[in-house]
Amino acid sequence: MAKFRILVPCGSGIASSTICAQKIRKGLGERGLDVEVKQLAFRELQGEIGKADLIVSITPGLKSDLNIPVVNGLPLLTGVGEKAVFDEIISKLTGGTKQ
Amino acid sequence: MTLLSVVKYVIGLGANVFLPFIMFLIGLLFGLKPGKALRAGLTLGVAFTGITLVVGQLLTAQVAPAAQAMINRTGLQLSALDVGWPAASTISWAWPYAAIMFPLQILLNIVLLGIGFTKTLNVDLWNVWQKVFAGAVMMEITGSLTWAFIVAIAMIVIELKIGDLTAQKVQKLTGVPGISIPHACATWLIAAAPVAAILDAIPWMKKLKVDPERIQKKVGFFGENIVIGLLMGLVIGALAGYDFAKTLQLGIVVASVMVILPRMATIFMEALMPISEAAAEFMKKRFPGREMYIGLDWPITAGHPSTIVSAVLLIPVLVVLAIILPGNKVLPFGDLGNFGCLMGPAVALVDGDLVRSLILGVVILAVSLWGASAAAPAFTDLAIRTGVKIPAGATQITWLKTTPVVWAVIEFAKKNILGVVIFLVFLTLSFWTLTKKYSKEETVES
Repeated sequence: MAKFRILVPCGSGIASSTICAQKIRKGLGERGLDVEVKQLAFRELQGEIGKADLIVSITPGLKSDLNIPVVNGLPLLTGVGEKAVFDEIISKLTGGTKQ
Repeated sequence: MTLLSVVKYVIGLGANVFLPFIMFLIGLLFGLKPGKALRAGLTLGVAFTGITLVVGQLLTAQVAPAAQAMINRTGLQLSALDVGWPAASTISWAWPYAAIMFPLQILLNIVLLGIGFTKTLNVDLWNVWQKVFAGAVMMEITGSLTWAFIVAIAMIVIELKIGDLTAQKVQKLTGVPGISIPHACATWLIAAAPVAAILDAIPWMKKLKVDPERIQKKVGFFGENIVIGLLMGLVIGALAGYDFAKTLQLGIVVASVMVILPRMATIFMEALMPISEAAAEFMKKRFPGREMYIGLDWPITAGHPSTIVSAVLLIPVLVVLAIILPGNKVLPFGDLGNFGCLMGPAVALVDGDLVRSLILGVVILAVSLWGASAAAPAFTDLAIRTGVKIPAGATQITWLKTTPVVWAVIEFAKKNILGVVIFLVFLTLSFWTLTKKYSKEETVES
């Protein structure tokens, strides 16, 4: 299966994004999806968008004219509803939304 | 062999040995399996070694002398180098009593929630280190463990309370119900909330509308760590009187610090993650079905365009402020591109308005510079004690995001009564404005 590249932005690309990135690697790995997860700061998004398939944002309603799909990753921080996040990531990655 | 001598021996082995040991025990305490706890502890030791490597080999060995040369040549009085939060957290964790902060924060939070003093259950245990920093700096100044923990407790209480009071605004900005941000960065509202209330009272202020999203696209490039690092290195090198070749080399060194340090810090986070997850579970289990705010780390507001844009636009403002602000000694460095967290709560307070966010940002950064100036001697001593090599007579080090609470306590320890009175006035004013103006459930605004 093709390797997908997922961006996980947070405040500085260190703390919250590590929690999300670890959970995404594990959650998608268990579901048989090969992904590369890149952590970064929100302010660095602009330079990386061209090289990615999807963004998982812990700030709900991430704005900007991003032309790749965005998934709300907040449940990965609160621990409530994590499964739905993985389902949404998979459907957006494999459901033909890839640019 | 007494227990005390065992403890002394373990601490004497150095932070990268005793940290894994203590974190292993803390992991077991929160119910992690021994294998997982051991792995978490070991990873922490590895992360600590990695970060001290970068701090020692690049920051204090190459950047600090350049900064010193710049100071000598230009006559700027910026004698305290800001090491940034990844380094500050590492140095804090190396404080021998650091691990006690986990159970302290958790138990205090549970008690305060139980008696109805706060509505927030802070599950963000990553930022426990902020309290470690406060305690460690205080101990360095007073030599008293009691005072260290009094300060830490004050921080925990103030954070939770400001978390409660700003919860409605945070929920409105993020659109997420039931959360709050009891983060150390919210304590800057002690200075910023009264100012925000004054700005709100100015009628033409609200008419100044700037669209942060349009600016966000234009500043994108300058928000990248590698670019910020390169520019800083080139400027410091040029001002230090380095020749062309050495200036270029410094540019790459500083860019390396800005890129490598965060990478190292993610290892730290990976190590703490299982422990903080287990501790959060431990806390949540205590209050099933009870209505409360789940206290989260600040980055849930980090993706807001006004947070991103103000954190980038204020970078040059911070540099100018550092030069012109009376009494400032801090050379903003490690956190120069990384003070978004200070902006998060302020942006929420003004409902994401960019103009008012930027004005509050100037106030917040001024307070940061003063606080970090005050903390520099104690933080430098702390760093030396934990094994960071700082050449004698060279630049001091400090941390830009030393909270106003820590600053106030340092002034208290120095017996600066006026400073403490001013702090208490602002504390009262801010809690009053937050309660009256910003903590109400929002109905439709006209």
